Amino acid sequence: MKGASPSGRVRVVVTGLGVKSPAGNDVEAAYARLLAAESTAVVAKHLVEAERDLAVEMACLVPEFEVEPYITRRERRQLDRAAELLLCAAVDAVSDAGELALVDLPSSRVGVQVGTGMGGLGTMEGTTFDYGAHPMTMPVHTVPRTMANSPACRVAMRYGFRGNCATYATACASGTTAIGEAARRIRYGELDAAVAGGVDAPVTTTIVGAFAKMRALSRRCDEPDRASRPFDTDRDGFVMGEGAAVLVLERRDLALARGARIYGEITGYAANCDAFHIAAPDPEAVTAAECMRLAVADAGLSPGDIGHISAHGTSTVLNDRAEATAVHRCFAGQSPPLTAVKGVSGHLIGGSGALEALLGLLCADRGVVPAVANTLGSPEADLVDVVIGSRRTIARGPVLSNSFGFGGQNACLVLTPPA
Amino acid sequence: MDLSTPLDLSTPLDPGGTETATEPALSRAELSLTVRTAVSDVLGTEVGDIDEATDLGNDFGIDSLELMDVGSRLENALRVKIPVSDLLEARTVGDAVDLLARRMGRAA
Repeated sequence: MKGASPSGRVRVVVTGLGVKSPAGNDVEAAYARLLAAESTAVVAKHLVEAERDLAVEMACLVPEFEVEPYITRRERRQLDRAAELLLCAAVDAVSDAGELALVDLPSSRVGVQVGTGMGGLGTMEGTTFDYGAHPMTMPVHTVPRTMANSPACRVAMRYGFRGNCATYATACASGTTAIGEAARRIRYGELDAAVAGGVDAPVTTTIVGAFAKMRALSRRCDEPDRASRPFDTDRDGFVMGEGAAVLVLERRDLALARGARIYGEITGYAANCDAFHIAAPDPEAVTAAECMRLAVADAGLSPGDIGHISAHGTSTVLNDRAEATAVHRCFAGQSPPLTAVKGVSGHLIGGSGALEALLGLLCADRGVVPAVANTLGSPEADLVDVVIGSRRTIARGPVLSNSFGFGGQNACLVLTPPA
Repeated sequence: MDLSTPLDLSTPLDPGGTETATEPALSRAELSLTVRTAVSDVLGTEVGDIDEATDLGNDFGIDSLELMDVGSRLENALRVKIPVSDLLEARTVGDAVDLLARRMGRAA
């Protein structure tokens, strides 16, 4: 196959990064915040001001930034927050990779792959509040603003990328699914490059209320910055977040030929489903462990080759315990150091998998495993090596980035820094 | 809830839909300003960037949804039904003002 290495495998590298996330709106700011292990959760003013008596009014929000350099006022009127965040992160990632080189590729060979758990649900919620009683007064662009595939299609339109453009909904695993599927499409020869990532903008009264109703969210409302504490003894739920992260993936031989900067390689991907419960993970975690094992095997590696794990780590008891069990199974009790970005970022739903893959690759390349924010001690310490208190220095090596979503969705990536 | 949408003209003046005829008639200048405001809202320009000679197709490459958006804003603001044919027929902003004036039964 074109672009295949001597092993017969087409290799896929990461050449561009972009984020619009609570941890920061550029990659180095987000990385620094992660290393500082400082939570970004705050009381969300717009949730309080809505006066809907929400049990939870804290969230991790994207810091305000100038949108005008990215999106004209005319286009912005037609975008919702999810599409806006994803498009801005994608523009950063494409510029980082080299826009001219990407648009020089045959347009049919460049695709866009985006994961989102909520899509335009939050926007439709707002439309329902504002126009529900008089639907015929609603804005003309309501459908294109709220459809789940808008973020991906806006990126395709912006650059004229005419290859496969797909949007994946695997709940909290959506961003990971999108990156994994993008890498596969390049491996299989369908695409030469892909803009891949995840996004959600779920910090609305109805969506936050819905998650609070199922007791998935932390109630530590008086101490928002201590609420998200993955794997900690005193965790009591996750903190809702918003944001987008985007990676540009390219066929390795083409990226090398054009002299692109290479952040690392997507070496492994696997996905499966617990088929157990619509929200809770299977506590036995056999399927999640199998997903990790398959991703590591897909990379041609053994569990012992993994330098660290970027856990899904939501800060819910059910997730963290099941994930620790899965890691324990997959690594046969020899867990590599494990961290969890959500202590800092909260849970970006479809955005999280992409943000964690991106930051995990940087950590893998720089030989650093950040401490989990807020976590002081873990009841799962006998199962996994949770990095607590201070960051850990490790040898540069592959990272396993896990995502698990409602519905029993499991998706794992292995990302390997350049040799 | 949606923080990204600026205020617009689409709030109906008469949400119950019970038409009343007590509105004072708009002058030609007022009507023109209403149209130019709707157009500038949709195209993300300043009102001053739009004049009656502005050709929405040639000058701005307006697409059909944006045109519908302009029409919808005008329907809400002026409480008048605007047929799609009118939207398509008006080449310039001035044409649209003329058509609207006729629809509203007032001499331009």
